[in-house]
Amino acid sequence: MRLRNEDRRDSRWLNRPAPICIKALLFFCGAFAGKAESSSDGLFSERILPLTDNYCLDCHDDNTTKGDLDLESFYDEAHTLANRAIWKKAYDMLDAEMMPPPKEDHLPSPSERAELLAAIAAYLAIPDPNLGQANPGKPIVSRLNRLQYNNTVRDLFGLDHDLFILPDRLPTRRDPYYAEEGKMPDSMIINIREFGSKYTVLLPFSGLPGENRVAHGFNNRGDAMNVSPLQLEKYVSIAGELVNYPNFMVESPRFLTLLGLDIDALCGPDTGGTGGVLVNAAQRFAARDNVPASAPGNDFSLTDFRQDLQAAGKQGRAAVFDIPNPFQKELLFDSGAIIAVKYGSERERRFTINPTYGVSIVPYETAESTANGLCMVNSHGNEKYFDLVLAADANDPREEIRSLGLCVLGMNELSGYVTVTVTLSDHQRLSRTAYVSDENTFFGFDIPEGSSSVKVTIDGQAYGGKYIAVGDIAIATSQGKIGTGNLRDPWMTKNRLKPGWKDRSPRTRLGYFMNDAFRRKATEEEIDRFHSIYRKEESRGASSVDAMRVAVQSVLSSPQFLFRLEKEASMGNEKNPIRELSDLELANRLSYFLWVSMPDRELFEAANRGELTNSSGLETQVRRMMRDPKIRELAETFAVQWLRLDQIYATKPDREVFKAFYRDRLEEDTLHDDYIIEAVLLFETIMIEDRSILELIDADYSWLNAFLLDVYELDERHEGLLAAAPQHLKDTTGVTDRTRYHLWYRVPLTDKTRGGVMTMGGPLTLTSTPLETSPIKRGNWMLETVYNRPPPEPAMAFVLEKSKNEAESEPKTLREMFEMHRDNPSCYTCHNRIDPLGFALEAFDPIGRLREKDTKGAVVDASGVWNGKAYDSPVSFKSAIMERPEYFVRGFIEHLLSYAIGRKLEYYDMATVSDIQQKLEERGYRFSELILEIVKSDPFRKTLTGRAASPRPPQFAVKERGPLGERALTSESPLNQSSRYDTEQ
Amino acid sequence: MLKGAGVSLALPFLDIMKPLETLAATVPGAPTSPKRVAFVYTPNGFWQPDFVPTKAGVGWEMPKSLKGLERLRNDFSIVTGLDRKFAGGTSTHGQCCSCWLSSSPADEALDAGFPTNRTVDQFLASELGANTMLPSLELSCVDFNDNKESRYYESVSWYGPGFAANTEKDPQLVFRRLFGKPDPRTSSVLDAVLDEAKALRGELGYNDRQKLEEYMQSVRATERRIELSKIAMAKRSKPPIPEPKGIPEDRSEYIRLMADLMFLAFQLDLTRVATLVVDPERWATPRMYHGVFDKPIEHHKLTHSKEEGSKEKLQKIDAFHVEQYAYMIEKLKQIQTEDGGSLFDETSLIMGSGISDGDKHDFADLQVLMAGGQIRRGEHIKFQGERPLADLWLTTLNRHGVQQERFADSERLIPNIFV
Repeated sequence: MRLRNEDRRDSRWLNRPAPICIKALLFFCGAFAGKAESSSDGLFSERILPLTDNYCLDCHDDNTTKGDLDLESFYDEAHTLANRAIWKKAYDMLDAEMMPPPKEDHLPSPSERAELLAAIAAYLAIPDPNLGQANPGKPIVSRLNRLQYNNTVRDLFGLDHDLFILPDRLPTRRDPYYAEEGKMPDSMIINIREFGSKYTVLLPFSGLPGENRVAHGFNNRGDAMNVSPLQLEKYVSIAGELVNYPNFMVESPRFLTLLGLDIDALCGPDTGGTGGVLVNAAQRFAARDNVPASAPGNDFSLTDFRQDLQAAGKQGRAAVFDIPNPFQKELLFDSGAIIAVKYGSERERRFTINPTYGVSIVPYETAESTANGLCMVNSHGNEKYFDLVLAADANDPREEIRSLGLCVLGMNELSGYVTVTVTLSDHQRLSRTAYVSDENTFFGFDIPEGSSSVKVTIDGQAYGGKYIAVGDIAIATSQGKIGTGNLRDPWMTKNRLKPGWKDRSPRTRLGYFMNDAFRRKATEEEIDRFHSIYRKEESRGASSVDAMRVAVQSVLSSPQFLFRLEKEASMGNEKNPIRELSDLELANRLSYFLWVSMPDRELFEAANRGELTNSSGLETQVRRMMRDPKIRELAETFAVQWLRLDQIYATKPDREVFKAFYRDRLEEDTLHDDYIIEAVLLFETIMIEDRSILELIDADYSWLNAFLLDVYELDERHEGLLAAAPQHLKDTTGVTDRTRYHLWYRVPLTDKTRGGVMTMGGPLTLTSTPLETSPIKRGNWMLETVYNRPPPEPAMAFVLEKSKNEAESEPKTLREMFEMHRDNPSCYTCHNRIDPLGFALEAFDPIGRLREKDTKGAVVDASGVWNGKAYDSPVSFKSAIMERPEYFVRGFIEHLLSYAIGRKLEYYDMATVSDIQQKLEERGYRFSELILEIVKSDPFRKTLTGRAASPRPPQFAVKERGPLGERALTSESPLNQSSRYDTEQ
Repeated sequence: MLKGAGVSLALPFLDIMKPLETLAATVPGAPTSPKRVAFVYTPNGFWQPDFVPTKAGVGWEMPKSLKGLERLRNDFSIVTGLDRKFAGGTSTHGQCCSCWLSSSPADEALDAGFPTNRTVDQFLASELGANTMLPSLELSCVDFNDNKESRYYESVSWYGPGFAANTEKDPQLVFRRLFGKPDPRTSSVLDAVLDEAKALRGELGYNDRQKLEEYMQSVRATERRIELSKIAMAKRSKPPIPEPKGIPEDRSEYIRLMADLMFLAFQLDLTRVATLVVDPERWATPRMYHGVFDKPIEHHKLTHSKEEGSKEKLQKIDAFHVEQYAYMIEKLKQIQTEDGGSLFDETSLIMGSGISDGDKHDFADLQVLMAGGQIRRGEHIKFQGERPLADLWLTTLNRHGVQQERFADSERLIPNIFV
């Protein structure tokens, strides 16, 4: 290699044009060049080259080529246009003032720098001469990652919770989610699950491997995900587990129908191992007469309800479930097995109760049962929260619930507020909150017409103890006008699988399912293909149900399900290298962007009506989607990965030195969760209330609980905040401290030390080591997260020791050692950016507390200069950052755009980013505007087609076979070219 | 290679796709003294002063970190002084792991700046794995759940540029894959999806098709595994060991269990090539080394730490990994083969790290531990000046039946490593 350089130097020296000729040559080229060059109008030769010639060529000529960059190779405009990725890199280095090296004597003036930046930006925005317009990037070809797979299967089958345990799920449900209201409350209870503990899922002992993150990016990037035999086996095997898992039929009425079965298949004497039970309705509601209390706002009294039940019962339309004797052993409904209650006179009906979130039926010593000595409680201690889906008649969607009553059981020596919420199939909610003491309390609801099923949520999180118990549950029903489908499967409508359709032919059922599974209309040939599996299995002697299971497993293992394929792209007209995405493709992009899942019924329908390809239709859907609880995924995935919060659990502050971080002896209760939630809540507030994204880094409020108030030395505010919180949240007697700390307040901040992600405990902790802060990690985090300009990897690890030895006098502080380190010119370029940010945050200790002295006892010096403004405290540092908010805005747009389209941004995306940025500035940086501008942008709505998407057969496909084995021969592959400046994928 | 399909990243087993009927005839479990190779990767280099013997040849003093191998002095050799070239622009730690076995030259950065390419174990798999249930087995003890590093930090085995082999991390799942009874329905499912993929292929452009090829190759490999596992199962009455219950909490127990599974797969001739990643590069997550330290410790941080005692800790981690290696050697020696010898005689067990000095991120002067019947043992084979690591891999390939003149940036065969 060394020899080659020598050779090259000698020969090139003779052959290359002298630098002084370059301009002339360019003029020459420009004058005689074809169309491609004319578009640049001498931009490159007149505005860029003179400046780079003056300031860059000393190091980046073809002789020196520092950093492997030879700017002299750009003497041919066609060549230059085709290699603009390098100029994006040059732009970033110039922009960050990392190049020319700040310590050089010969530096461009600020106006020269600005001119050069503007010129390069304009040059990068020139439409690709081969495309005739800006390059929108390649189509999405991506395997579903773990989260996408989980969510897609969940929504495909209408499940209420995750398919399997996701280790990276936030340890809190926040249910009901506040997206619909468009407003966050001022205080709320947030229950936190212990990190790493199990939670309610369908398949608790299964899962898929997660994807690695991409350096400086997110884990949804198609180019970083392969399919290997091991991966494929896991997909096939989990689909097999799913379709054969008995409770899956119970959890998903949709799957049950797909198998051609109805509810009776799950209950009664022959339950087929589903854990379902079939019982007879009781004669009387709350027969023990021990329900003295009634929730405020009940639609009727207990007495009236009993009379109503009696009258309805005469017509066979009352069903009382009193947790009867067959349950003498403890029953765990962890995976949501079904309870069917037989009622009716002429016609036998099935009132079903379907606990969806870890419920047990047990005798409970400190509670008094309303009938048979048993009650229904949350099975996971401390959750005190569960859902029951009630269907008036599981076999007849026309039967509707007219009224509903249930008893919440009081427990000895405990009390607190309990909220029972009934959610109707149109998502309307009816809610009652009662202060429950040790007396049993009745909750009664009139149910509006059209509700064949409802979801009842029992929220006892503010009640004392670890459990919330429910006694009798009863409904009165009537025959409705039309069937409204089933709440558990809210997007099942006309053209899709419905409970009544179990008698349709297997092929028809499979076809409906495939439309959804493939997220587009399945062709007849495709349906035939999968139907033939069904027939083959049947001919081998499988029952029709088992044959269907294999067919469904095959659909879930097929490439059309497992991949997101914008396959029309490849069939595109070669003459037109760019095309607009179809409505259906846009629906898919939108839903995987905002929900990390498949489109819902409404989005599919909007796509079928062709509404997504026009801006107003698109906007309507986006705004609707942002009001859907599924938008939480944007916070839990994008925001968490953006801030690197998923790494916080791996940071373990020393428990001797940082006792405040550990709240109990077992190390189970730490500030990790609180720190994640604080940041997620800020993001959610901005997202849900449609606030300015600038608040992400500079907000005058923060979400804090008692622990964080303490850590942030704001504990004097606690009394006031507690006093202002709604009574039903705080009035808890007999509660543990833990519960009390689950009360979160939106705290107005007068002092800007906190407020915004930069000075939150989470990022400050995850960038520290167990004993010390790391200014480097913090500086890097700032550059990467806040600015999306991560510094390049250092060529080698720097040894502080060295500068220590070389120093004449022993440096005293870490800061002094770093300053010596920065004296090295090759380190200075990056550390000139990293260190001011890192050292500004030295005002915070390794767990994010303000401090005056560092861990070694030296006085902390958090002063510096940024954006030309001096700072000496977190407050003035924040003002220095806000001096140029546009740098943050640009970085944030880039992060979100890259996440939205699942690819790394390229130089040709720069124009889109600055376009969005300009619009945002005009519109007050509102979050929804950002989302809308992203989905309306070319990279989101268009794609390269056919050959343009894969310009030539990748050259690394050319392999040399034979004695040398199979090896790539060239490094000039498109893969390599397009990502030369991505340090890794 | 599939003809005319535009496949560029052929999985190794596709080169050797034989009709299953033919495979059934080549009965696994009755090889004529087959050769096996296992690569074990440990991260972040080694603390040099306590790892590298000074004297070359035989009779060298045992450095502190290698003391665990003292009793096995005549069962292994240490190779030092081989070099790799770092390709600028990507992270040192990512590259030293992902390119340890590809050893690609720095100017061959096909994968977004990373010189990943088909690795030596995958070349071996196409030759040695032709008839086994799994052409190769990729295992890892990286049980971190946090999303801290990219795949370059934990992948040593690559099918081709940018195409990492997935690893199995849970011993229970390794067990099931090796010895479990295949679900008869799986074959029906695989048939169906392969048909679907074939039909789909015609509709796709190059990029999409490449993903689909990966998928189809994976389907075929799985079909093959299932067929061969049926044959293998027919030959034994029950699994050789009871099914493990997930990941053992004790670090050394975990590593040893994975090694046990790897060697069982060798013994039953379910595979002949394996990689085991003991830990990933960098990954600033403290981990517990049971019996070594009483609290979790961060390996990478120690390599750059100037704190008192950090080098001693680093040395202890190296010694801990060497202990695991010693266990593996002994385990191999205990396993009897049908011809009366031990598995050790037929296996090459190779352990190393992609950098030498972790603090300096030094890609030069790497250390490799080599054990097994094929290896010249008891020696310190020391290279001076520049000598590519690829020469060792080239020699390993040739020694195990993959006749090549070059591998990566190799220059020539090393004559004195194998017996």
